[in-house]
Formats: sequence, structure tokens, C-alpha cells
Amino acid sequence: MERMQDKQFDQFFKDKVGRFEPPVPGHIWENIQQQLDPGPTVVLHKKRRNVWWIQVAAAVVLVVGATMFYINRPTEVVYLTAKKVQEAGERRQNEDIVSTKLKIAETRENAVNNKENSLAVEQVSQVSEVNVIPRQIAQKHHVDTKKTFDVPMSGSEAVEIMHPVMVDEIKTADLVATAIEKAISVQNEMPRQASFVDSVSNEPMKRVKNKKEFAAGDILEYVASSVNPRNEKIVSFASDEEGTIKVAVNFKALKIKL
Amino acid sequence: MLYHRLASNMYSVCLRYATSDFEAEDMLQSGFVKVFQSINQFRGEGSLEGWIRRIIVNTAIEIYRRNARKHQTVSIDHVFDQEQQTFDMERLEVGDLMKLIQQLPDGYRMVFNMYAIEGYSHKEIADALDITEGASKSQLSRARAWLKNKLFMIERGDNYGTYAG
Repeated sequence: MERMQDKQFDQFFKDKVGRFEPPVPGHIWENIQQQLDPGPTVVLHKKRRNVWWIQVAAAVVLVVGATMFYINRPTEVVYLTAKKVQEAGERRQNEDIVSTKLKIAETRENAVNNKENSLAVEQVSQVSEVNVIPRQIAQKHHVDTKKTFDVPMSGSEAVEIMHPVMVDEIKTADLVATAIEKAISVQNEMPRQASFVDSVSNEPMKRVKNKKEFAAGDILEYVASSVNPRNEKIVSFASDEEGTIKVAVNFKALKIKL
Repeated sequence: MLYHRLASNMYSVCLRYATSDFEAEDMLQSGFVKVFQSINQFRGEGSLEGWIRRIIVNTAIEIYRRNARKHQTVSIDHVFDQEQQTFDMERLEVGDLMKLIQQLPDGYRMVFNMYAIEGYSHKEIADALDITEGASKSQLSRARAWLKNKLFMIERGDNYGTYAG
């Protein structure tokens, strides 16, 4: 071959070298795959780690949030207190509602009945799960009307607030429960009317009405409006000046209706 | 499969641009990783093989530039230009030619590969290697001279790779 031109020289290399197909080491492909698809264990590890932290964070937030909610949850209690009245005739004028306190006039009661009442009331609150018990135990009329007959037993609590639920005599818890449930159902239908009249209590109601009296609807409205709508609404009934709570009623369940 | 069909071809390209088999393997590996990572950018213009080949060559250029920055390449300007330029090259094995190319000084090797075998223009080479077109041309001619010199020595039975005194 004579003197070679540059082009020929290049072409020679190109032809020779261009057809060269050397064997490729096998490990290269494995390396490429590894590089393109990083080991699954590593990825898994990372993911698991992330999830772990997220779970812990979520748990902490949950606990803190629940605790704060529980701690901050305000509870307002409206106390209803009762006052004793010496005689039916000389009832003291009931005082108006002062701030969140409702006064309940209470006639003299005999101890046995009182006990009975409180017992009954307690049972009522348990029986009627509704929580809302505008409870009124107005037995006063019995005293008033029957006193002359020397009826010693009927203790009487004239709760003026609650004329919707007039229960004549609370002998048994069952009676009270049914009466109150009745009262509640009636009241729900026409809370403003305050016209729930028990079979027995027409006369006493009138009398009570002469005094300061409030419809159950008004009471509930008052209670409901005096506390934050989202809070628990508890109305407690105290039997005496000491404020011994006979019954506490949670009105929360009624908040929507109110 | 794409890799297995083209790996040998591309490995050949890598061997030309690399200074050792080890470097060529490295080049092939990172080149194909790039191919698979950007395969969705292939527009279908031209052949897929040509597209992959360009990626491999670009990888080789990157490696060359990285190495060139690391240690200043000593350009061998003094090349013995063989006057007698007749070789019986048909006798030469491809493997021997590969070795020769690998032994080319870095700059010569890049230019010679890109121009003589890949068919790039001097302008493209200048842009890719960040040199002037003139530099590309002179490097090419020096590369040829270097190779011819080696081939001459081989023909004389000398052990190529060493200059005969």
C-alpha cells in the first residue's frame, strides 16, 4: 500500500474498529440495573422510618389535643335553690332569678316525704336517660288543700319554676318517671305553653301561678341562654339552704331544641 | 433487549475513548444509565442506536473533560513524523488497533475518535471539547501522525508502545 491519504487512513480505522464487537463484562448490566433501581431494602427502610415518625407525631398531636380539649372544656352549672316557706298562707314572695340562680320556694315538708321525694327524683334522673328533667314536684297543693284534714304525710315542695311537670304525689319512682316523661314529651311539643297539666294538679297549679312562676320552657330557655351553647347545661335542684344537691340535670341533650 | 443488543457495539466505542478497559466499563455503565433515564426524551428522529451512541460519546467527553481538569494533560507536541508512510494494515488485528487508539494522548484520542470514526465536524469537536477549530485540526493531524508512527514501528517488528531509539 502506497502513501496513504488521510481519508483512507481514517476510513481504514473506521472500518476496522467500527465492526469491533468486544464481549461485554456481565457485571456492567447488573451495575446499571442497580443504579437505575436502587435496592428495595433501602427504600423500604426509608419509608418505614418516615411512617414511624408520622405515627409518633400523630399520636402526640392526638394526645395533646385531647388533653387540652378535656382541660379547657368549660362547665357551667346553674344552681336552683329552694327556700322554705312556713305556711301555705304566708309564703314568702319568691325572689327573682338572680344571675344564674333560681329560687325555689319550698314549703315545709315532712322528713319522710322529703326523703321519699329525693329518692324519687334520683330515680327519675336515672330512669329518663334524656337528661332533661324539668322537674317539679309540686305537692304543695296537697298540703294546702288537705291540711285541714290533718294529712300529715304529704310533704310538699312547691317548685314554682316547674309548673309544667306537676306531679301530684310521688309515691313511687315509676310514677314519677312516667309523669316526667310525659311532661317532657308534652313540653317538647309546646314548650311555650307551659300548660302541662297533670290530672291532679289543676288547682295547685293555679295557685302556684299566682306566685312567681315560670314555664318550664322559660326555665330551659333561661338556662340554655345563660351558658355557652356548646357546654354542658346542668340544672341542679337543692333541697335546702345548705344547698345540698338533690338532683342535677344535664340539659345538654336539649340544646338543639332550645 | 435494548442493552444486550447494543452493549457490545457501545462497549467498543467506549474502549476507543477510554485509556483502559476499566475506564471503558465505567463509561459504558454510566452511559447506559443515562440512556435509560432519558429514554423518554428520544424523539424518534434518526435511529435509536445513533441516539444512544451520541449519549455514550457525550459521556466519554464528560469524562475526558473531568480528567483534563484534574491533571493538566501534557500535550505531546513533539511527534516523530514518519516519512515513510506505507503500512500493511490489513494484517493488523482490531484488538491491536484498539490498543493503539487507547494509547493516544488524551487530546489526540478524543479528536481522532470524534472526527475519523464518529464523523463529527471540527466545529462540533471544538464546541464539545471547548477548544478552537484550529486546535481540533492540528490535534487530528498529530493523532494521525502518532498512529502512523506506531504502525510503522509495529511493522518493523518493534514492540509498539515504545519508541525505537
